Amino acid sequence: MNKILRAKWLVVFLALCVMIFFGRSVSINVLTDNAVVLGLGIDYTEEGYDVSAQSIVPQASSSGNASSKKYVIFSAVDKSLSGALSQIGEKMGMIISLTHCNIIIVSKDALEIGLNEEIQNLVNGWFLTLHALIVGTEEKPIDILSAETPVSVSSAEYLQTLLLESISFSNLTRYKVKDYIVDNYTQSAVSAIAFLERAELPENSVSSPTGETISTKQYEYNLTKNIIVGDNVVPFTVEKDIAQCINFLKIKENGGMLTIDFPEGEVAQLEIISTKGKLKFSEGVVEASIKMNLVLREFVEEDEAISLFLISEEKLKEIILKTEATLTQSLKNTFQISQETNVDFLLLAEGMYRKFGYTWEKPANFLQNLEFKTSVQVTFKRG
Amino acid sequence: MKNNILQKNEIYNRQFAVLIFFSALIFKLSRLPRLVSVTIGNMVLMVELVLCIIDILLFILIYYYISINGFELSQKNCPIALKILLVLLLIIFTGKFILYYSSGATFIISSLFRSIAPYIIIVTFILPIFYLAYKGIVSIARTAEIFFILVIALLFFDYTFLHGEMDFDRLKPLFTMSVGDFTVNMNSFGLWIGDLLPFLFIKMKKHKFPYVALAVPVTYGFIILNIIISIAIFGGALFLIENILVIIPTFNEFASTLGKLEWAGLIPWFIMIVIYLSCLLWGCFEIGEFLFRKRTVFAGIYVGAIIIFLLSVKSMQYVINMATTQFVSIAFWCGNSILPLALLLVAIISKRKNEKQKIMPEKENAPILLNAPGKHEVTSSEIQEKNSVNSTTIVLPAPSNHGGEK
Repeated sequence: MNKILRAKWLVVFLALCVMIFFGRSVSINVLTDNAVVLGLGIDYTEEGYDVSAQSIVPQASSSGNASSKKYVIFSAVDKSLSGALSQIGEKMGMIISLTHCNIIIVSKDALEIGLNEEIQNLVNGWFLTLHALIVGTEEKPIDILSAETPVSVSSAEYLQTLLLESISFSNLTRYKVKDYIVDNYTQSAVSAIAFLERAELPENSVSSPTGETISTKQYEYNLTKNIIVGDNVVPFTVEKDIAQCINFLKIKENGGMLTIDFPEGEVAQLEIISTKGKLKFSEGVVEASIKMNLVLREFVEEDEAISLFLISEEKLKEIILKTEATLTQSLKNTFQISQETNVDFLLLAEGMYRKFGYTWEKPANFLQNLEFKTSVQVTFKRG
Repeated sequence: MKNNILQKNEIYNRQFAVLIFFSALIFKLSRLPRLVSVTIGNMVLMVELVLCIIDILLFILIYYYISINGFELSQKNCPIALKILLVLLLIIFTGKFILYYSSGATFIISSLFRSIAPYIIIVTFILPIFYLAYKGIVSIARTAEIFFILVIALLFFDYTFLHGEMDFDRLKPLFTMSVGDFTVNMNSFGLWIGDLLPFLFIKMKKHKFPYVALAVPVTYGFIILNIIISIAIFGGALFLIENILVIIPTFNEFASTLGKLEWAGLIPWFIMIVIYLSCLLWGCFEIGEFLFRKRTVFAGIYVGAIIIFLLSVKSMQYVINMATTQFVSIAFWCGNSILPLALLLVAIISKRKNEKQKIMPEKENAPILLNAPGKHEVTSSEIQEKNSVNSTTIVLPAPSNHGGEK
């Protein structure tokens, strides 16, 4: 027996047996059976979840058809997200795969009922990647998914590129599935998600290969605002400066431009090189500090741009002071909105819990009784 | 000339270092963080720290046991005590193997082959483990050494390009409950200590470089580092993560271009789990061989019984859940911590017995040696005095006035 087990051919024989046994018992799906979903839209109606999926069909793309036929959108309504996805799979005659789905567009109605558990089910049951971006909207997600943008035929692809790859030059909110789940398990249980608005562009006429002139409606997206969602929170949007402040305090990678308006009508355009936002907690007090490294890109005085080398040192100091004052005011406004709405989107309760440990209990009127201090420090250079 | 022929169960210390790396971290990073997170919330780091410290202490015992050749000494001098302890150890190993195997098989099903019947995985997954375990620790060590390069290369890729948007403030507060409550809750994690116990039966061939001394801090440091990274990424949502080793690679710089990089974690995980489970099963076979003499028969019946058991249970999840029940967990705490201590104690007693036994034949042989030609006679009190100083055979030279060689 010992000799038999030592024989090398036995290993080969066993390996073959395993392969035959495994191959006979497991049905392995080929790639062409899968519908690779690029973007998912989730809406909530009285009938349940209205889910739409934009996917790329490998068969269509491999046969060399026109790119307009590459993307398909299917939708279904069901009481559960999984049920709706299964229905979409049935309609398409394919297996739904969310492993490459990098964007989820959620309507305000769906955000209002809370999607934490549902999103977790998509991660665990449908292999949704934790890197997928979440975007909130007041429109129907299917309309966003089906809209054509000047850059790409697929909205999902365009949004993905915009939010994932433009880190260095934008300060857009890049809020991912992972962040949504993680923030929901904090003491504050509130998320600040990118808010998508759509604007129609002038009609664009394109000549098709057959010579016909096709007019297409194209849209551009604005993603500068945030939508605040959470447990027992009616979702509401916050403006660009507030969204920026939330990002400065919560997200490490920040870029983009900062526009500073002077009372005399002068405008300074500053590029953000780096930011370091921090929240310091002590008993009943929160100190929000932002350290920012900026470069002056343009200075407009009396509707005319001034050469950056001609700007005096005093003017530069004035720009620094004005920038600091603007950011301080934005921070104060951010906290004020949080107090007024009684929604802790800066995750201050979580910060207190981390500071004081498990013995800390969230007091009644926590936000109202909290003292909020600010500190802004700007380092600056000419462009 | 350098002798490269290894005895039974003898492995090089560099191979042992690789086995320590694979064995110590695989289950502390697979299911444990999730279980801790579900059971006692955001205290995963503290639990892992405590378990790692206990494991290091246990490893010191194991290392000493190996260095004094405890298993062989106990076999010779205290076979009955050894048999009793090994029966208990076999029960612990069997429980550990069943729970770990179920955990591994469940993860394979849930992450790779969702639509297939569990029995297919139960049957196929056991084959490489059984084969390696049957071939012995030398084969396991060689296999581990070969795959170590691949594992390290992939882990290097995973961690060098890690882009997890970590927030280390999420590690706070370190305690989410009182120390008393924490201690009570620690009862549930007895399964995860003593992962290196199967190595009680190895013999080590040493290189000059202290690979083992290096492997222990590196391995446990890696476990803690992984836990810190995971908490910094997931915070209170860590309970969602079934397997840290597989999820961390998905947070890679290249994930947006190359897609979900789970495979970069799945491959090292799979290699490590097969190697570790083989070591555990090999430990069972060694005990079986000592207790029942017939290794092959024991191995066949033992593995067959485990497979039949796993096929007959309602679901493997039910088996896995048993790991954290009070009775099972406390049994593991006791078994994993007391048994190595007891085995070491038996080995130390055996060592002393062995030393005494070495002295006894000398006593018996002493007059013969002393009566040899050219040697002078010594009184019994002189012999006793010399034996108490040194146990080696003493041959006294003949005094010159007796003539002798002269």
